[in-house]
Amino acid sequence: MEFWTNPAQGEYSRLDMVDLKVHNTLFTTFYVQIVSLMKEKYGVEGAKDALREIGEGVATTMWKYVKPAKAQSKTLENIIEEIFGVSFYYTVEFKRTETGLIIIDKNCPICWEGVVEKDIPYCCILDGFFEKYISIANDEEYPIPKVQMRATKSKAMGDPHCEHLLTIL
Amino acid sequence: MMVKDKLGFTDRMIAKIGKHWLWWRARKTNGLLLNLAIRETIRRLLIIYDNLPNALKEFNQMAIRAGHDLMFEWLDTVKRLTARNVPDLTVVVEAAWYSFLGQHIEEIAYHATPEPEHITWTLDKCILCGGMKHDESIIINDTTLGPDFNYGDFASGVFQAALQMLVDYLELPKIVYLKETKCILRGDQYPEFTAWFFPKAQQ
Repeated sequence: MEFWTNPAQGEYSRLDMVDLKVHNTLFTTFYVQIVSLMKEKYGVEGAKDALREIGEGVATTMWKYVKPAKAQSKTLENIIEEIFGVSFYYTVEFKRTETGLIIIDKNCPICWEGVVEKDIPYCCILDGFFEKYISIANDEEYPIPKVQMRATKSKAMGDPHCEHLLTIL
Repeated sequence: MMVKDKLGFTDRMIAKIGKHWLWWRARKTNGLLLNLAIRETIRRLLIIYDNLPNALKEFNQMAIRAGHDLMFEWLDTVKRLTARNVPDLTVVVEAAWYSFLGQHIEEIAYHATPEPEHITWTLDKCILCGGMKHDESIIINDTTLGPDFNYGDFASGVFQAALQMLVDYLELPKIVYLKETKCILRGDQYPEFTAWFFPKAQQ
């Protein structure tokens, strides 16, 4: 029986959703379950790869709808700051190294308070996401190099903050 | 805190205002990011479980487990908005939906019949299904979905677990079962969710 007086007349496009925000907890609560399942199915190393692949898949489509402004994306720091801003609405700190860059993330959107994961750097999904995003930017002639990104510290593993090491390829 | 038998006007007003406050202070993630993270998770589950119905079934179970964590954090906040009866749970559902998804429920209704009593709501547009109709990398439609689960049953699982925890807290002798009963990806015009409240003995 149709009893709604004002049923929806359309649907969201991906472009519409770029401007939508949702509660971060929605993702973090089901991410716990994903990590657990991936470890069960693939083991620790396989789980890291699977989580990074999920991040890569998100970045590949996200790029089509959220492209950083070329003029403002002259360095790795610029582009990473812009992606963090659009995706998670905060910024991170950086430290330059001889081979690349370290992202120091004191507000990790994945490692929520209370979650404990001793086997894998819990927020490694972000590695796949940023690695892919930066790789596509490089392919599309943004003036930044391709990188390999690996979480080296994670709040869920007991570290005071999360860190991701970016090695320039 | 003592649970009321029925919510009054003041409680309803607090719920209307409070959901905006909850949303305002919540830590946010981009909507497209969540939508794509769900798609990629389902893509991975498809590899593990061979077909979409099995993948969605597992995702629903994951969401039910996730719902416990979600409600655990939220229960303290919503205690003020609860009363020991099912019709008043519409207030909590509206507040919860808005404070997690930043999206108003378009319409919501409580039905005593046909039994079991149930609450049904519809949205303007669905953030879970958005963009998926034209996504050629995973074909989601009436045929591939199978008979039992819809694409938005991730949300069903989360809210089913959360409502069950709330019902248990209120000591209502009910078992909650929640489903996305209409889905744009199945060809329906709008999304619709239904929560049924079965008497515990009839589960």
